Amino acid sequence: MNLERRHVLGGLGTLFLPTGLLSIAPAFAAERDGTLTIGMSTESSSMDPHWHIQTANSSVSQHIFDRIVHMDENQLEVPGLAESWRNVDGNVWEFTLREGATFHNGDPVTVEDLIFSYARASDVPGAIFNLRAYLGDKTFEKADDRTLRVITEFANPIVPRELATTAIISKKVGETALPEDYNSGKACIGSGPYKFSQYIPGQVIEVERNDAYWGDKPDWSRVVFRPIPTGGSRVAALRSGDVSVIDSVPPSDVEGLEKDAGITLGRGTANRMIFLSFDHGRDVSPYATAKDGSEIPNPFKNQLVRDAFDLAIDKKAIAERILSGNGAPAEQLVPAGIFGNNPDIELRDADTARAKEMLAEAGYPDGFKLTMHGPNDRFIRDTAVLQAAAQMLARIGIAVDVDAMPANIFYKRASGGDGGVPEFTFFLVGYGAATGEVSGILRNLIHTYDDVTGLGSNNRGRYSNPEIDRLIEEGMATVDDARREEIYQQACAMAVADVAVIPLYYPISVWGMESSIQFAGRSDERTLAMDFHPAG
Amino acid sequence: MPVDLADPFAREAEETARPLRSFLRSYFQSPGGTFGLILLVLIVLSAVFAPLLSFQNPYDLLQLDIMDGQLPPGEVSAAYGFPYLLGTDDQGRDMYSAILYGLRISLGVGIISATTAAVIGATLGLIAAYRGGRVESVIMRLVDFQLSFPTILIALMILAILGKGVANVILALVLVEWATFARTARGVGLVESRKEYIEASRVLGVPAWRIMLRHLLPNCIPPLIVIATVQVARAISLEATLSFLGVGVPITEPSLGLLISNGYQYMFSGMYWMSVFPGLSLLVTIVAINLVGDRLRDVLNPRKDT
Repeated sequence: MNLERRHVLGGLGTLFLPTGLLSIAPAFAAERDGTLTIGMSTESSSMDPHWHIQTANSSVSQHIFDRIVHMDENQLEVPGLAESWRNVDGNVWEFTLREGATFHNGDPVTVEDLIFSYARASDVPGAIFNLRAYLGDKTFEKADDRTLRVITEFANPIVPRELATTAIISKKVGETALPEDYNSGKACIGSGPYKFSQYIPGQVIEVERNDAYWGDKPDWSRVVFRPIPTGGSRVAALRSGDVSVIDSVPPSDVEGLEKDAGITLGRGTANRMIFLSFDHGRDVSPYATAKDGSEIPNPFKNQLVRDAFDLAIDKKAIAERILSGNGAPAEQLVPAGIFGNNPDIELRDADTARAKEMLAEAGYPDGFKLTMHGPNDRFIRDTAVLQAAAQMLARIGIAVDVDAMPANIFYKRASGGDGGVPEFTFFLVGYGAATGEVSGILRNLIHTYDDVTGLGSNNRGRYSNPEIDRLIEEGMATVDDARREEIYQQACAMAVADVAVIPLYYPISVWGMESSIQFAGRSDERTLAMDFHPAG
Repeated sequence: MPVDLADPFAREAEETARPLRSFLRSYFQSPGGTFGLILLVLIVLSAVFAPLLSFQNPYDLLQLDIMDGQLPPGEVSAAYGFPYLLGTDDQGRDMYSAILYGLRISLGVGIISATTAAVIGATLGLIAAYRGGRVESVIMRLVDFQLSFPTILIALMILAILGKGVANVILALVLVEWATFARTARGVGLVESRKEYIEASRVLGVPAWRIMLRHLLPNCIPPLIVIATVQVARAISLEATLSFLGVGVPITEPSLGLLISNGYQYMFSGMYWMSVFPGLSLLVTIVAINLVGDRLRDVLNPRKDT
């Protein structure tokens, strides 16, 4: 009976699926050494592991490419291609390369490959986000055949965490390869547990088990990633057995799937903050105008306006009503429990009346006109969150338009492409620190944008506060953990007081899978076939 | 004067004397066509008078409250006191009001785009038919080129370039629909322009534009009306598809397609009302238009008596 219901519901879902998916025959329940099919909410935007650092790309690239240090499901460092590492003194680190690790083409992984990978990752043509933020302060040299020496400009306490961000590619293959060659598979050669098999943008990514892998062999011989951006379609695909695992289960379906005997859910509170970002940089910002459409000076240069916006948006209501518990309202840059969280920062209650007053004090008693931008397929319920925020801003007199677009278009425009100016005035984005602690978000999002050092690389609003910059740089050079945390907490408090951004919520990631599959959950939101195990 | 419809002469006389009455008489002979027309009139009226019939302006963010979101049909608004007849969506939008406003967008987009496409397509088709030669070749190859691509693909490409918005959706629909009209107009135009009355006007030295406008066009109208009706329905479903795919209308001003798309996310959580009701409205609208179109085709077909 239950089985029949699943088929009917699945069939119903198929009616709404994007046409590209209809041709694919349903797979059978996942078994050991069989194929694991994963429905992904976001598609990897490239197979080049250094081109765009976002969760979907990192998830896929981690199957094919190793790092020298890996992060476990709680974002703690574990050995990757380096079997051990040590801090020689303050700014010198040594990593010992594992013996016997080979690339998929049979070549051994050498120290030269590591050095080449770090050089390339800092400078990929057309990259959306380059890894200079994590690599810029380091020089890499070969100490001996098995030892990589890393020298940082100043004492840097998180070198292993930072190197865990960068995929190791083969120097021989990578020297002449462009991002396109990774997409075609020609250059997509790593040392990871899986080998590249097929990539059709918008449809499928397939990888095959690498039987020569140095580490634990994964349980699945083949993994198929299918992008299914619509939440309902993703759930339908899981229910009907088309896929065995899905990521980001939509909040609206959590309750229903919990009752389904054939399906289990896995959860992990994500170390990520979803926030609204202001244009702090330009004197006139294109999407903020007077109500009649005429040009006005950028209102977000005024602290009162930013404060009013922060007060107007009811984060608790968004977490409760729109995210149905799949997100916790955010009061600062990282959730409690993560290194650098400042326990003194409290969540403010929304106050529409006060926000309206502040807007009037700032010189906008009748508000102004604003277009909000955001992705429509990146975060859980992102368009609904945008609309809800727009609703709340309308109550303080802002005439809001909402323009949501596919994430791959959104991010290109939001970042401004190659050396361009970020386009949007007020927009929804998220930041999850790949290093698993607060310094990433401070350095990349809050620090002044600096093309040379790579600091502020995600600072699309071009927020700049020299005092906070000084604290961040001081923290970056402080090896003592307690002192460093204190400095970072102070920087967080200042950024929050300044309303550099409006933190909205920390998502709680929910995966859905066939009940025969076991999975422990992760805090970095990645979906890795290696974490999923068949029962028995 | 009573007319014996069985008598072909009496009927012909009647048709010549009172074309509209005769047309209506034969239209209403079909219960399906009658039902479709009544339904369509009701739908159009409710779309036109949507602001009077609805409890809330679903496009005004100030009137929405997310605390009223996801309520089932029949719940009463805490803030405003009116009942949510068909429930609310996740933004606290009254589904009943949203459907009425959504119908406005859907019908408006459908009718405007089909009419514009008809004018452009018929003009080009008639010119092709009347002129012949190179002009005809160029126009008809353009039509072939256009028709060889799937309409949804072209519309998606156009919207990807132009961006979202009701005006852009209309433009995209016109660009994908004109070819159908051009092809039909040329077909009918070719037949008509070989007839004696056109020959006669030519011989009399009537200018070409006048022949096309005053003689050719009126005699080509009936099949174009039928095509136009079908195209309105097609445009509505195409607009719904585009909005469902997220490239159509802005998310704060949902049309039926976007309402279905929003509600679809809740399909499996038991909140059926968010997508089922807009879906039903879309279905009923398109069925009504198609019933009318079918009946029109039967009535306007010149060969129906033979």
